[in-house]
Amino acid sequence: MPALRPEIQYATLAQQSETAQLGMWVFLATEVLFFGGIMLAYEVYRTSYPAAFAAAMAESVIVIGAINTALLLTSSFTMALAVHWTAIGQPRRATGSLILTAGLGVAFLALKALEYYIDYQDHVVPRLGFEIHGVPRGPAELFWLFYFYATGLHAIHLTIGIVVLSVMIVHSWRQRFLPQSHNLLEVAGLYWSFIDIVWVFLFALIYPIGRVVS
Amino acid sequence: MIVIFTGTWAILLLLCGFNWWSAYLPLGSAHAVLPIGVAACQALLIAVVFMKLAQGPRLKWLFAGVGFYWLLIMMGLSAADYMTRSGWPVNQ
Amino acid sequence: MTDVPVDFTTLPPERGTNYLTDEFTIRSWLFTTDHKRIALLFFASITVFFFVGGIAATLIRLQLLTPGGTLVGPDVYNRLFTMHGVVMVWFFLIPSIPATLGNFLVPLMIGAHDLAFPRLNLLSWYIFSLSGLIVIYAIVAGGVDTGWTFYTPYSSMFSNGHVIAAAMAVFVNGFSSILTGLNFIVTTHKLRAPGMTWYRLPLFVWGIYTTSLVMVLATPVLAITLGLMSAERWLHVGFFDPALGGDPILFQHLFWFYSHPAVYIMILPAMGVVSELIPTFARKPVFGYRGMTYALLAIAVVGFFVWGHHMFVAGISIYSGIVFSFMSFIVAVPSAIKVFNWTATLHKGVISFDAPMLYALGFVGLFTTGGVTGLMVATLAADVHLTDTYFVVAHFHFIMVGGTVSAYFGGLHYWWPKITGRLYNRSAAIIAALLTFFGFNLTFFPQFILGYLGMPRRYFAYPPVFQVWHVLSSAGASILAVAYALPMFYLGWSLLYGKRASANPWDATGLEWLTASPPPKHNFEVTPTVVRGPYDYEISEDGRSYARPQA
Repeated sequence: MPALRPEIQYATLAQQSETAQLGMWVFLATEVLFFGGIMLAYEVYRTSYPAAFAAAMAESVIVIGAINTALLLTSSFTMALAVHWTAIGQPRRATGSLILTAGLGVAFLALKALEYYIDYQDHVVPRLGFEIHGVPRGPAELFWLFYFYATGLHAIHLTIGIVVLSVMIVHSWRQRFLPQSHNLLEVAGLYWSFIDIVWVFLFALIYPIGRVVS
Repeated sequence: MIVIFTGTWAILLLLCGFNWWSAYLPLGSAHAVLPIGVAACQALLIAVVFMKLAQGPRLKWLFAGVGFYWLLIMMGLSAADYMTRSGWPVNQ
Repeated sequence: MTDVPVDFTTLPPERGTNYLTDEFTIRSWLFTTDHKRIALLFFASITVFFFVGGIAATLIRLQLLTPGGTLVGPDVYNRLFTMHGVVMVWFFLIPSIPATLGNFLVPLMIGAHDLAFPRLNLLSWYIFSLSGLIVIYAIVAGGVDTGWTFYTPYSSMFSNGHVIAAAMAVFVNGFSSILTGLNFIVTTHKLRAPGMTWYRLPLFVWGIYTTSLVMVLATPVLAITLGLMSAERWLHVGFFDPALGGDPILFQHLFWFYSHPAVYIMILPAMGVVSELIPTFARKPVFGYRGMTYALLAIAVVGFFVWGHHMFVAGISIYSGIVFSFMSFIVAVPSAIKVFNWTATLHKGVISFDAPMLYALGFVGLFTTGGVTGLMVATLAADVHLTDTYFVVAHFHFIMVGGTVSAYFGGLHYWWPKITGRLYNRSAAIIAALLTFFGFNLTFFPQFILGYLGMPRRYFAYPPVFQVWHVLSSAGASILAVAYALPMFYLGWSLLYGKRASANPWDATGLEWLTASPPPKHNFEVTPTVVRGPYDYEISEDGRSYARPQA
């Protein structure tokens, strides 16, 4: 039976729910600094080697990047809907929305894999046949290292999110989330939306520069 | 609520499209800054609407913001070194 | 459905009388969510690592007895000081006070029945244990020779030690730190008992809270830094590679952005402990309570602005060096305020020189010495001479060993009756505390002289002119080893034969002293209602002291 009483250290369910969300926000703050560290490295090198970075960046597959961004933004939307429907007592819609969210995440990963393959064909994978024309090779390779590290770390986080979502889907299907107590789902939703926020910033750092020949 | 979500989603997609389109505009050095600004708007929308930052205790705002603020500190003080160091960057 | 406030009188009566006797199975320990048991699990683990790091230290001091480097060669010596640093920093010092004393006491001190996330607490210990296994593997497989600082490009390109294993051990360990810190932050915000306002919190809770802020903000940067370094080593191409236009100093910026706040992770809880010990054993309220809380916050915050002082001669610009040096001077101010306030607390107090108080007094003196010498190395021009010498080694050992370890032992002795329900032999403890202070000074003060005279750190051999100071230092180390081992005996003896402790053997004022020794499983029979601030001690005209508990 789902819990109707808070744990012993809490006075009310509301206090427990607020606390759970606060805890996830603290964890998300750590993630900001985790991804922020690699973004610092990126900014140092981008401002130091602007031409090489721009040339390297022009090789990124912006179409896939943009579509992926749209997919993740939509998945944040469906995730928020799932939490909302759970909170107002419509578990079947919530479960459907969760399945959609996970599906969008999987689609993202599939497109990412395709993008990696295209990058390999384009000779921009460091140490695997890397080539660039017109700019010093070193800094361009630095950009592509950043690209693979950052998107790789993001993909790992997204995969963890999908696994967590699968567990959420099972719970939601069995109607174990109550309108007044569904903390696990709430914090999973926070985590998922945060992964979306990370991607939105990564998109800005990876794709839009260097495509205009001035 | 669902209306707010849907509206936010639409705005987010529009911003995404704008970011994509702006890649092909002759913006010069603004290319480095504009997409990040757009991303920041998107992030704010996601946080306030989808992550329900607008509801609940104000403490969440503090926790949500402190990570970014600390990131600025890290970037700013590191920049102080890279911007004033002679011999950097090393010519390739 | 409406929320139903939990009514503790309807809970089933607890089987045992306290948290230790509640259940005896191994399962009940390994799957516990009780913060007090988890604290003991951590205590066991970090004690093991204290010995591992101590063995490395012993070998180092034996090696340095003679100038010619006869015990081990340079390669093994490099591995010894690396493992000493890695183990002591991440597997002993950082978890020491927060994960043992903090875990045990924070819920008790705020009047809560457990931490906010008990299962995350247990997970933190399992993650810590996993990281411990990985680092033991790294040691047994041959060790690492990069120094605990893992500087590139040596670590990523040239070292032939088990760098990635060690880095992964630290990476995993970081998650334990983050989960513990997260738990304390949220607990302090949300689970305080009625009447326990922020400015009625004991300073130990403030210390743990500010430590947790630092843990949560700094540790992720270490994670990404070690990740990038490991990737560079594994893939043979990386972010810090000068051949690509990368900057090895960028590694140092990222590494020290964490590692300087890490030293505040190590000292802030210790300051919290000392702020508990001194009022109790001087029978006086802490002088300047609010100033003490602001000082803790200031140290935690400003501590993030000073990391470049580890890089003055590494190649950063002179201008950023000036900024970092200036900020390093600023961060000394709140620390100094705390020392002044502790001293003022002692003034006109009725002081009893029990072991916890001796450790606390030792802390104040040794931390001050370490802090002042910190200012010396923070001075740009002086640091050119002192950097990478034994002066720096002495400076940080004064703070971390003279400071943190003293406070840890002091806290252990103070709360031992609460944790175990037993009293230990008073004289033995006093002897151990005095021996610690003496042994410590003999070990590390000569190192200031060594450093000033030019003895570099991390050297396996040295010119004979330095030998007399090294011999003094090693002699002190042997005394220190005895002093640290002594408590094992009399504390262990107390577990079996010690007198049973009352709820409040020190007549102190905190909420933790209002419940039995050892506490029951859920801490309090009834959630206390707090009516006054901490440290409400009073000394009457005839010299008798009174303590009013917080609830």
